Amino acid sequence: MHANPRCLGLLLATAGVLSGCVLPVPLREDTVLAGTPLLDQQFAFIEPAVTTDSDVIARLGRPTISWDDARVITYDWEMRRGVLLWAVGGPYVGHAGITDIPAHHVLIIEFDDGGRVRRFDHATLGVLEPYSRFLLEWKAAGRGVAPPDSARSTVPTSERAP
Amino acid sequence: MSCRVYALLAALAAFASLGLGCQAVGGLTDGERSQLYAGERVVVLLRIECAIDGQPAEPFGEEEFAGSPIFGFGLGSFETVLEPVPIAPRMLASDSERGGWIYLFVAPGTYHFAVLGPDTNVVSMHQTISHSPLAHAPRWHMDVPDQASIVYAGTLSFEAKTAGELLLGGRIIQPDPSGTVSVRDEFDEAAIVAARHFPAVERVTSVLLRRWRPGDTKLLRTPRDLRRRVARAKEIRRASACGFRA
Repeated sequence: MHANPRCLGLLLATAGVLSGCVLPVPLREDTVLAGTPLLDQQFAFIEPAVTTDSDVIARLGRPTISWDDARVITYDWEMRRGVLLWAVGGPYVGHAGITDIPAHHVLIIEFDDGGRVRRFDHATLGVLEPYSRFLLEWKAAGRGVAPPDSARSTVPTSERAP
Repeated sequence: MSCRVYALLAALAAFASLGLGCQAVGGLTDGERSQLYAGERVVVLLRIECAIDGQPAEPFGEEEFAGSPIFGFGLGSFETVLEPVPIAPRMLASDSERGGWIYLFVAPGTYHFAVLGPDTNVVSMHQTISHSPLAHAPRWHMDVPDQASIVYAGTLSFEAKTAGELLLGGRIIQPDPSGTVSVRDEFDEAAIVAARHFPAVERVTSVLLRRWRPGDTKLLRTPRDLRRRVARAKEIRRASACGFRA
């Protein structure tokens, strides 16, 4: 691959003026950053084609998101997956800090026209994955736990790679 | 003051204008007008009202310093799952601008409208890189219906107090901690403003902002253009599947 000499020069000049480093440190997910974590046994009562939307809300509380026209609700929480140590600097100026690396957990539930659970899933979003894209893809792809007699393929609770 | 200090101040002012100071004044372009008439985009009319030390004040006027306003705005859409990102609402020109009328030009859907300020520090708040101040700013749920061209979303009334003097003149304005932000309904005035600035559109729909607080459910609706794109993709898939079968 041939680099444009002008771009290469600009890159080298920028690298010469600015410098920085980042160091990600993975941690155990035991610190809550946002929301209320849900354990698997807390939503074990959800049964596709049986559990209703009012059952879910009575047991789990108000959802984080209600995507009305898609008949989808979510319960979201964030755990600290690690920290990012970072530093940037240039001549006479510098800045450094520690930033949490969150793990965004989502319990996502889709209901049918009668208000009964069609399918549900517990997923973890990647750090750079746009949430709206996850919602659209989940809705379109039909992932998650569905009724056993459904024609749709049954996929167990998933963990999405960051 | 040395030339270097003046240069620094000019650079800071220019930097500030990149994010918050560049609120466009005026109406819609020809392309935007056709989007409005086609129902693809909607004008959302709002009024920002501000009282400083109990006295009415111009929200976008007298408190400006080096191009820096005292209000910052954010809008969360379906793409951001209603998490607000900085925006520059458009002001309405001439006499109505004095009244704090602004508008957004958005697709039908649900949004979160966030407001930072009134605060003379609002620009530097936006330049913080370690956290997003808009994430903690007061925000409101905004519903933009499909069958509307102009939506009046309400008048937001803010209270602020003087907290001192700026080094180069002007007051330091901070939000009044004892004040409350309210949404008022000024539909009649909004209809007059809409008729003056968007004369081709006859009807103004009123859907007032609703306060949203952390812990409240976010109400999401698929934007119309996205629904169309998804439906079109489904049609193409179906058509190509039929073609394969044939």
